[in-house]
Amino acid sequence: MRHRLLVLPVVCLLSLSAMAADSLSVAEKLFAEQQSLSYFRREALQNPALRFGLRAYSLTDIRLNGLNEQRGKASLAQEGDGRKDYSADVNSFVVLSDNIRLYGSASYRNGKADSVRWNENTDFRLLYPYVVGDSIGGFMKDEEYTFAGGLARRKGRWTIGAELSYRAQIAYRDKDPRPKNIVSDLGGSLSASRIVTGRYSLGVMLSGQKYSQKSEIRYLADKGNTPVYQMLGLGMDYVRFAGQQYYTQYNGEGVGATVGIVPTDNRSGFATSLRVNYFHLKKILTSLNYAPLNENNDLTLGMETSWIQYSDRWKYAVGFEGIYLNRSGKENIFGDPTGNVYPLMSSVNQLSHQQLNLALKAGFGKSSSRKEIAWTVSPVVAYRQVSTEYKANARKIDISSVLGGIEGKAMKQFDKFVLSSNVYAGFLSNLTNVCSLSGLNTTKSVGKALLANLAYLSDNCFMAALNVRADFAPSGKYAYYLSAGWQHQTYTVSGESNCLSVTLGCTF
Amino acid sequence: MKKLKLFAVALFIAGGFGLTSCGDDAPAKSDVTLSLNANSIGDNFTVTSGKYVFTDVSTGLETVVDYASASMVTNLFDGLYNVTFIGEATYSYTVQVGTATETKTAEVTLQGSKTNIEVKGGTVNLALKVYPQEKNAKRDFVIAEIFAGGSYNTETAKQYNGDQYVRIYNNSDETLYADGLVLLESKFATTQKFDYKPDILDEAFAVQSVVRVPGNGTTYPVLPGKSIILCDNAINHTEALASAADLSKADFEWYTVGTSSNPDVDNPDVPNLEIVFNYTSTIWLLNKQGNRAYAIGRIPASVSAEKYVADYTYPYTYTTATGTEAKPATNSYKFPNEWIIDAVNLSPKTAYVWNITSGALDLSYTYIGETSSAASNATKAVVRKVASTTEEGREILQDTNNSAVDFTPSVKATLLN
Repeated sequence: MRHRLLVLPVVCLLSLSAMAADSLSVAEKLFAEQQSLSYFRREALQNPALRFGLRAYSLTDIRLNGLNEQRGKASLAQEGDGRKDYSADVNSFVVLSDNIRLYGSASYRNGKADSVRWNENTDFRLLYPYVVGDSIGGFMKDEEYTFAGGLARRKGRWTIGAELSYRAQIAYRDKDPRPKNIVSDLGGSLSASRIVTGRYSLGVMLSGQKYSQKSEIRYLADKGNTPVYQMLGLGMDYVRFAGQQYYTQYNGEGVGATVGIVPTDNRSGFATSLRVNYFHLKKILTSLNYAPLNENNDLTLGMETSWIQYSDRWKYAVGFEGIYLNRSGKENIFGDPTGNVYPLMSSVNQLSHQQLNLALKAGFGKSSSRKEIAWTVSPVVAYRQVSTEYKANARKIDISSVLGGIEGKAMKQFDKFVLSSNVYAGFLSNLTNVCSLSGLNTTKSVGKALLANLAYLSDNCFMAALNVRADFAPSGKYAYYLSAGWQHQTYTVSGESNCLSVTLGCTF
Repeated sequence: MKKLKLFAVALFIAGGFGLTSCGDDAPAKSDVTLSLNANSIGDNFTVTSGKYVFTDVSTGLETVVDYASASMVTNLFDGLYNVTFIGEATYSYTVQVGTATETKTAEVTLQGSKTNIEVKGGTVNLALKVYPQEKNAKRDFVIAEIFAGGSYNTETAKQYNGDQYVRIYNNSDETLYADGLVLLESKFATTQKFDYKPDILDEAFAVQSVVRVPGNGTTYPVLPGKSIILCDNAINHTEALASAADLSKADFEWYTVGTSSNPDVDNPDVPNLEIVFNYTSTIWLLNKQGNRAYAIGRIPASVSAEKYVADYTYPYTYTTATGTEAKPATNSYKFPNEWIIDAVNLSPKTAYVWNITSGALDLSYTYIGETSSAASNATKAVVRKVASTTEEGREILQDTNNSAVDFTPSVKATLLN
């Protein structure tokens, strides 16, 4: 996998070749980025064709990152209570010519999650609830490589775009139980947009995804092993296949379509996007004659609408975003195992899981020259709901919360230095917490883990974040920077979480 | 421009409808018609009460259905189930009192079980075979403890063989004689099922080891509340491994000679069990994976060891996983159910497939360990629970022919240091 690291310098070289065409200094680019409110159009700009007009200049960011997060009880057992990551990444937006834009990114991350329990797999949220779990768990080391590349070409009123991404990940533990997961995640999209008036572009995007995760668990200790469980959600497991079924495979395929309208070349105006994604995941028990154990059918709907107004001195934005996930989990039931053959008897849609995220955002700021302070204030109100039901025993949870927060950003140039900072404060308040967990044995490890998860998900919390960044631009073409961030959350019952991050980077 | 904005608003609204339009279909259910199939043991045999417990093999979820009538219907989610029935029944019988005939009513408990019942397709008929047990039946020997896990040497990280044992307890209130008592190990595994033909489950126990306590009938008395130990090597194993069991005072040992390179140990001071039949010509170890059933019984006096070996072979066949017919089995014998005093099914908790004894002998199973890992099972045993203690201090062990409730599973063997 190490040869994938070569992708990082390739992306950098592409960016350097386009640098000569830029007329803006790097400080001007930094200010332009700070003043942009394009994150209000995040969904719409996923379309490579519509992203053509995101910037009028090339921008490349190369970073070395370090992260240390400690979450304690404010975490899901399956994701661990903390992690340390070291990563390097590069992101590039290249104006290759008047008609062509190139997009590229690559990253390498080496990390370790702490105290992961009841999940020996990678990508817990994608696989949920059909992970392999055990009561011991422990740390989980992982290495991740990603790269993505795309282009958009404009011809007349039409722009076509394409993008390809790939993620490879290996996660493992070198202590019993020893899981080893190898993930391969390929994604691609084709898109087109048309300038339908002088001011707006209408775009469509079709996307596809191919996912696989091969997983195995080994024990090397002489004193035997402990059972592993094929989890089914809300503390349930496939009792029949508990024990020593150590080899599993997950195969997934997804398709998606997005329709969006944005102001051409990312100017002021109204933008809307609607996204539909379908993803099908199958869990196979390779150690049991490749028995197809479970399936997830995900339907995701995303919608976003926003209005942005830029003027000479001021900028305003208001936006609404909604994302809904409906997951239907299917269990395959196998018949009488006479002859050591497990005939497929029937399939039952036993799990129903929904997530809803709604957010109403606003932005207001001063568009300043580099000699003044440029600032933006962004209040947000959001609603989150998670509901899951396991039908056979009518276990059900329904948790909703409302979030209110405000973020402030500021930037100012001092000669060859550009200083910027972000400050955020918010409060998450639980609205509903309905948990019906009939028959759950709360003295067992799995029961305790579920209750701890629910306590965390239904908790109230105060959030604060601070990020400061200093850029040093020795020339007009590039800038080095150092940034440090701190995120803090204080929960009513789940304690505190803290995340420290440091980045050393170069922008050009 | 106006049309475009309208289109944008329409997109937004369409998304809003999408958020609320996703529904789910409910899992399929089937009607299961329940009836009991009992061998009547008297007149007016009537089931008075009871409960069916359906255990979903996939998820372990239990559905309890109270007995209501001879034929009743319950509605279950489609799936694969194991079912047990425990209940009570009455019957009447006549006794001669002088010259008169008097009718009396007796109460019995009813137990039955069946594994791997496929519930699907809307309707399923289940006629469950149940076995009556006299409530005041005379007590006998019971298997009090099975230590099949063996010991483990933590210094060498190796399993230690030789200190396996079975403890047999006189659960009655009178002196019983161990003479002729046989210890049986099943041929089949509780973790793997084939369509064994002929199916003898309701008439006999398929065995691969039959070892018998010697004696003339009154040689080895066992007082009420006392145990005898049947073990592999009746020596003080603590001399070789401090944590092992001292079995030098065991009552009997099974000696199977072994091979020249790996001979069995024979303590001349401890009587050997008579090997009526044993499948292995090397050293016989109790199954360390814990996936066999064990039973004790008595061979009638009319059946000599030679006659048993000659007349009770069980050359079963079955269809293999590849669809071919297996050759008739050798080293397999049948031991009639009516000769059996007590039986215990063992299975790793996470690998149980079926019971390899009749439901009349054992309704369920108990376990040495969660998995079939022999290393994990080391030092662990199953120990029968105490039901009550008499005024004289004699313990009466629980014996409901239901191993899941009669035994404490996966505990340290009582004779280990």
